[in-house]
Amino acid sequence: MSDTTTATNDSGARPRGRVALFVTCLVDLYRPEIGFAAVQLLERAGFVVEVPRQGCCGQPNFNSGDRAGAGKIASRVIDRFAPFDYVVAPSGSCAAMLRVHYPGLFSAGSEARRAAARLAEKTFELTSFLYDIAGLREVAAELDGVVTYHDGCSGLRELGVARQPRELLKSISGIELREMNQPDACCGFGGLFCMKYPEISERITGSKVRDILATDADYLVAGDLGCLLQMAGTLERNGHAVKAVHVAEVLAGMIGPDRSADH
Amino acid sequence: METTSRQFRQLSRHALEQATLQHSLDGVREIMPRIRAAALAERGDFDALCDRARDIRERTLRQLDSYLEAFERRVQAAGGTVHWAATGEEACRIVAQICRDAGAERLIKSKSMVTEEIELNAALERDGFTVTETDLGEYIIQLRGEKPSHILAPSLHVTLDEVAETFHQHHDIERSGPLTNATEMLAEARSIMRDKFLQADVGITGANFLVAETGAAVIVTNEGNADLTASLPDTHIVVTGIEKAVPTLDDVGVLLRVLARSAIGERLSNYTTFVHGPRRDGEASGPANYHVVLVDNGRSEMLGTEFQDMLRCIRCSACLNHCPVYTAIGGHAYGSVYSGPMGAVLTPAFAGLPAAAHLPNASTFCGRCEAVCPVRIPLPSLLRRWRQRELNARPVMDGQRFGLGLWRWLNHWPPAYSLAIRCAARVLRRLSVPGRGGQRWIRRLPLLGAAWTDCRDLPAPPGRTFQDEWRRRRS
Amino acid sequence: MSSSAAARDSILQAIRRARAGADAVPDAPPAYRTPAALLGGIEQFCAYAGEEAATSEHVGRMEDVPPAVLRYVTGQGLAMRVVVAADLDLDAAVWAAAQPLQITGGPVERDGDTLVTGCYAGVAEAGALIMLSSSGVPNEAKFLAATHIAAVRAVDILPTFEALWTRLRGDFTDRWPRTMNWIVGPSRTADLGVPSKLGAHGPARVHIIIIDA
Repeated sequence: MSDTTTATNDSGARPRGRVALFVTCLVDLYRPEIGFAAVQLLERAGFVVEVPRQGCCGQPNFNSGDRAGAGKIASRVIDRFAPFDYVVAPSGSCAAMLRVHYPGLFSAGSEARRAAARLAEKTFELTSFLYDIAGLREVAAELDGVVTYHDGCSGLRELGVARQPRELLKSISGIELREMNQPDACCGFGGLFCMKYPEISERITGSKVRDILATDADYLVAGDLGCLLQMAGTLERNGHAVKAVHVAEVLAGMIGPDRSADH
Repeated sequence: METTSRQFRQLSRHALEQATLQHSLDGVREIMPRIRAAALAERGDFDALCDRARDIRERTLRQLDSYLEAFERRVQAAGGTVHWAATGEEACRIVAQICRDAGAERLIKSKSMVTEEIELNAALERDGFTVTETDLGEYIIQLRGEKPSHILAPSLHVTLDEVAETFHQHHDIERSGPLTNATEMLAEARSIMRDKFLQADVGITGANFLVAETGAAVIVTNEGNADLTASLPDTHIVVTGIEKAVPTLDDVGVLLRVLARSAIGERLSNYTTFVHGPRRDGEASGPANYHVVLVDNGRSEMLGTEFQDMLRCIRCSACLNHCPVYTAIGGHAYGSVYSGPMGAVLTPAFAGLPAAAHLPNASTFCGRCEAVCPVRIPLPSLLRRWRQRELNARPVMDGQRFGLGLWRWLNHWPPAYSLAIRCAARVLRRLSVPGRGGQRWIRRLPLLGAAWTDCRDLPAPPGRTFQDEWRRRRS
Repeated sequence: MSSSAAARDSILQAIRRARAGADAVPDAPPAYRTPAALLGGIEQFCAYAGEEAATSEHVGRMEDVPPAVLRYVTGQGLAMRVVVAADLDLDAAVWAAAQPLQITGGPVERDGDTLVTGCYAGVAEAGALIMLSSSGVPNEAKFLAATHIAAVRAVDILPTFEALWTRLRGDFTDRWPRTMNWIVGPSRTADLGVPSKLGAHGPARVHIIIIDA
């Protein structure tokens, strides 16, 4: 593939497979470091990571009722990512789009549907891939501080991601994972929802922030950048010092007092 | 069905400003998920029960005609009369006629969402009848001239002080004296209600289930008001939706197990009543006349469509209690007697999509509603289908359609996409200002972006996209 | 044709139209079986009823019910006048022995009356009393009394709803009792805030006397 760049497996052992990183458009634009953290974690786990040229998963179209548009975007993603052993996204919501919703965009019995189903089967959210597929149980990272984990809605309810990020976070030396009240409650982001109904979104995030602050955590960790932008922006607007960071950054050891999340 | 759902934006803004409502909603958000979870934890088989419940409802809907006919035969055999109403107006006319035939003046009612849906009270009052709601919450909002703000706790939005005020306005103040706490208010309501019960000519209830096997109308309450409503007056009318049929007692058992746990975190509601017909020879009491009014009002139209799953709903309200949007704005903002996720699916079906277009759109698709639904209704998928219909109904040059079309086009042309994202990254970086810890923030965005920055800051992107940086580092 | 009959036809036709061409409906599975670990008996019945604010006690025989009623009424400081439903199979003489209780056959009139009834069954999984309408008990009495004392035989306490259905089907093959009331603890409302307030319309107190023999 001309527009695909490949990383070498720096563990030296035989690679366990080729992973295509579905970086997500939000990470691509807002926080590339999350993408690099994901690559690092995947490579350390023994996989060869590649980054096919890519855009959005089509979720804004799908959730806005534009099925046809979502289907067109999905076809493109399916074509680009089909050749790999696995597709991994540092986002429960985008991974769920590929894994849960793509097949239904194509008519039953069609070749496109079968292709979508094949892609769905090998698509994973990052922490669930590391924990369930790669068998990772601990990461080599340090973080001296209290973290609280927010469950992204799609990851939790469409992919069952809950235990994996928590187990991996707990393996970090120096870390304390402190659960907030209702970590499974929505943060108020909801994709375009936060732009269409900003006041309602703000109120939902307000409840979430109250629960986050009640933990007295230093870091708010989540697996979806959409949720993180929403919560970070609200924390900042209201003058709260809790740092909102992506689980990949924490697991890759990129977060700490001496490591700024902003590059 | 009359709605004010078109005013969703204004109504929800208004709701967000009501401090006492917000306090009540906080209570729902905090308490209801906890008590439901506790009730489930005791039943290791809850998931299996929900699968069963879903299958029962699904099987029933697919043979609804035969179960309704079987139910009808049973009721007739027991001496009752079954009426069929294609629309809400028809149902109201039937009920009014039964009341006139009974020579009735005073009617009592126990809470029923179907009668709210068809606006039975207003119709009966227009016909000159006096109607008193006997569920305490429903009675409170009836006095206040309001609609229910929660399908189970209709007066959720009313504070205790407001209840006291309402009672003072409508009751004999000299007799009741000042009401300062819930116990006094309850005593006041109880004594007022006693008289209403004993004087009523007709009692109107809803039904949670209609059992084809026995002909029973199953009515669930915590207060016991439905039992008095069904027992004391000489005529009992059950008004309910055609989708409430279930095949057998065994099926009712499964549904009851999931209903109260999902609704109020209890094993069972305090009162579950199976009514089979009018008073029999030799019986000491009970209504001489028994009627069941089966209301369609748009339900049969949903059968066989992509919204059929919604007819499985058993009105437990778990989806409301777990919904971030419902618990932010409450029921009135939906402008419909049905609120929360179930209301956002049902209201467009009953009132028409143009009137209720906001409701399916005002969801974060967090999926908690589907996760807690005891009959496993895929609520987000159903909402998404309404969005699809709504989008397709918009004019071609509509802003949202244009935006989505543009996004689709960008995602089909990688160079265009890369260019657009690169530009966005740089422009956003430009707009940012330094904040704490070296992080840069965007405090204010123009145009559409204001919808974000009016409520929150936006972390600034570093200015170079991941894909560009990746290719730079790896080349 | 009445409008109701026309509506009946149109509704049933609409349902049948929607069904047309759909797959065959699968047969209903056998009745639900509660996992053994969840099955309980009298202890569970009392515990669950207790959690819903009902109280309970055990007596040896039916004849022990009147003294138990007397003890309860005295203990709660209630009026000595109690309405006794005819479904309790007890001689007047046995009641007479429980002085100074004043027994009446009803009806329950005053808000404050105490009602004593028998019970068709109890269901352990919900702590529910199962009562059927009968010629002896005006149905509304159970919802008008301020205090309801229900006597239930231990043998009538069934583990599950399914056990109740089996018993009902055995007792009433075709003509079902006019009403069946399930009662779990006192009447309550959550419409005046949390916690729920007892005695919304019906009894504020429910006391269960379990007859062991």
